[in-house]
Amino acid sequence: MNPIPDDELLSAYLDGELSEADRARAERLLAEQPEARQLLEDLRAIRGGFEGLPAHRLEQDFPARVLRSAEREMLADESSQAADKTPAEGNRSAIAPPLPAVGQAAVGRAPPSLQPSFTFARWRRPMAWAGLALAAGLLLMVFDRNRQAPNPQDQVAHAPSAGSEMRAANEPGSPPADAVPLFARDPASAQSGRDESGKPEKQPPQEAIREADAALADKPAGLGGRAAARPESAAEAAPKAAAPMPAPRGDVAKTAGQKPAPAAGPAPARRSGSFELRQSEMTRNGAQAAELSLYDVEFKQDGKLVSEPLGENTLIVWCDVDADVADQPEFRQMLASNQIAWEPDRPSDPTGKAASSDRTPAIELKSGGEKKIADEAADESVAKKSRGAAVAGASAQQRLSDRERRLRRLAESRSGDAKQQSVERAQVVAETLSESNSDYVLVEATEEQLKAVLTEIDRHPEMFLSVNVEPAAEVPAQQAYRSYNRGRASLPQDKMGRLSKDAREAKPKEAGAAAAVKEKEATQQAGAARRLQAGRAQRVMILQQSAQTPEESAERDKSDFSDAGSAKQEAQVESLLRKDRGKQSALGVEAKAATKDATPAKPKALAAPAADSAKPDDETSPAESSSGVQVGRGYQQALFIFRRVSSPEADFAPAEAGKKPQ
Amino acid sequence: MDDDQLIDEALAGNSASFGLLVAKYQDRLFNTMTHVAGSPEDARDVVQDAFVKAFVKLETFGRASGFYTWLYRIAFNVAISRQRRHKPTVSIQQQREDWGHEPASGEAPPEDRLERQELAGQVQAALAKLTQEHRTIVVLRELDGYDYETIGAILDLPVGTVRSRLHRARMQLRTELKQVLQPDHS
Repeated sequence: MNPIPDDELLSAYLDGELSEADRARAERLLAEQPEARQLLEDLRAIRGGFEGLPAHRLEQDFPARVLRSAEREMLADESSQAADKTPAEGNRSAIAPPLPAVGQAAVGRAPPSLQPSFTFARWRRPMAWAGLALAAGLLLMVFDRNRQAPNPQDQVAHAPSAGSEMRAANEPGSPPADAVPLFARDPASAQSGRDESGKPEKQPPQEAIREADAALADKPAGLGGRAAARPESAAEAAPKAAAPMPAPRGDVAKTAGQKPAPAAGPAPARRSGSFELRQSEMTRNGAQAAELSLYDVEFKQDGKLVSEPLGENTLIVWCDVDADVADQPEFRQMLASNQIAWEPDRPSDPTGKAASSDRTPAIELKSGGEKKIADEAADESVAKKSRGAAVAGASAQQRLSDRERRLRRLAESRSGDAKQQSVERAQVVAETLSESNSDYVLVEATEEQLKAVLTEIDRHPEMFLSVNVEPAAEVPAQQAYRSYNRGRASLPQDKMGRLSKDAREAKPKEAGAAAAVKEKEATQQAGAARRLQAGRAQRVMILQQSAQTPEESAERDKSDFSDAGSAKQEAQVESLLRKDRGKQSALGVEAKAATKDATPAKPKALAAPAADSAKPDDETSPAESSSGVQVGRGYQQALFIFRRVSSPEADFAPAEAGKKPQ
Repeated sequence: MDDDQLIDEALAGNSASFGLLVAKYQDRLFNTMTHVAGSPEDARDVVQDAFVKAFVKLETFGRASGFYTWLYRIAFNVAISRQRRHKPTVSIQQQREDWGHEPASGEAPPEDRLERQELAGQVQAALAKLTQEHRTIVVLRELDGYDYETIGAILDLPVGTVRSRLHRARMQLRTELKQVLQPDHS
């Protein structure tokens, strides 16, 4: 291969990148020099070699995976935003003034001092919230042909059985079923709700674009620079983006003493004994959230992508509700306005068994002109891939078995205390939900939504006699929800303690007989336990929080959400979790020592037996229990378990059969 | 539905439209990034990161170029950033044995296919020996078929530099493939 005077010319000739004059020159060169012809032939052969390279394909669900990752990325951004504000927010739980009503502190309506500064991440968030779930569902429908096409209503499952509640709600004296749209799915509403305030959410587009470009390219200028030359697109997008979400609680705490600006819309009347709803805001918020797609928690372990099963990270909220008010429309409205549909079948089915045997479609929600039988949403694939903002229990037994199976599977993969705790958690949930006076709602929602629900619950002690929030052990962000604990949902905790004891003593019991015995024991214990001002949950919280500095808390929360996707950061999360587990073990030892010393003020072990937890000398003021805990932002799954009780002082008793809503 | 429409819909809140863009370009980008990133494993991560970044920053896409060009630039930057951080999971050399069994085109006669397959394997091996900047520019031209101007835009290079660098890369490939291209002369 002899050198060619202007061989670069031939390369460009091959590519057709020459001017007329240069092309003529190249052709002359080819005509005159055999080496030039050889070079051109070789270059063409090389090109042919590229054409023979193997074609690689990505899996069909890759688009859905990308959208889930995008969702996670956005959450991480939001978490970072939240973390930036954390110092003031972190210590808010004890000293925070009462929260404004749900939706009242929507971003657009907050006073200027409360309005968060606009960030790029914020105005792109609604786009994702409004569409990610829908996108994932559609993509699954397109690319996974073996699976039945997801129906938008798959994202919503409803209560089982006879559907007495919904029917009852349509009876005279009850508000019409559409008085509170359970799930506003009109895309227009999601759009229109993006920014009511307009101006405060806007940012100079150039600034937003610069921010985007900085994150976009590692190399300066180039195409990224050119891509930035479209300010109008950002300007158009910005006003659409601001979602009317409830203001972060920390914002309120930070500006204690300032009153939020009055809502722009008509202020809902507050009636004694009823819920103060901000229905319009919450419905709109819910319209976006109803489209959310939740992802299974995925992380890399030994180079493999591991997906944690549904349920492990579920926040459990035990609520004792007054049997007299549980059927009031206001109660359902509050849940519905927060995108929670509770359709208890228990009043007409005190045995709790009809749901699985006679599964009449409880309700048919209209969505997109289609109807869906609630039970279909109990399918695991739907639960995994098409989860919406609210998924109410389809069938207590069926869902229970699914949940228990998942939790047990998870538990089996663990060892030691973690395994024991997982097993116990599964057992407690399983047993409780099988009771006739219990119902539950599985919610998947944003932090704001969960806080809105918990806040609303907290504001009505006359209806929610006790609230006991049980965070998932390995979700730091959920720990802060303990601040909503009030009273004592004693039975589940008693059961937890007893189960621990059973496990230690290795006394397996026959399932049916054990349930009956435990129920009786628990009922007895519940009466005494109710006299306590604070329950075990507060003590556990103190125990955990006392060993955790605000910095640690902030670090954990930040790591939990903002660092998703990065192997290094995932390792940090793992490290923190390991540290946390180690700490809990140490605390368990400490608690044992405390018990031995019989020091009344000392908290017991995390999984304290019920007998210990019922002792009055373990009382702890709820006020003491609040300390710096921060809540990371993100989608969370919560299982609200409502236990119907006849009165605050009465033992737990099945609800009246056939009770009609008032 | 063309890219602009899909982008408009995605910007309007319909993320499914962006999913369609992903589906449209994922394999093409993955193929290219396999060569740029050095391994299918890394390429997969690069492609996913690129799509995520593109989705998050979609508002900033000015449409001065095609969506794929913009996406490619993002992916390229992601790949480069990753390579700065760590080495590829599997080296290109290691993949030499894996690649080439699955020719992209099955239309050629069997004997030609075998010859092409062999050549493709050699090309792949030679490509792995190029420097990053040469490999990238060859991939952009030969696999993606970009013109010089687009390559320059993606790599932030003048067209003249693209031309000369591409030529040098090809000449290095030619040297590496001399035995295959001109067996009689060896």
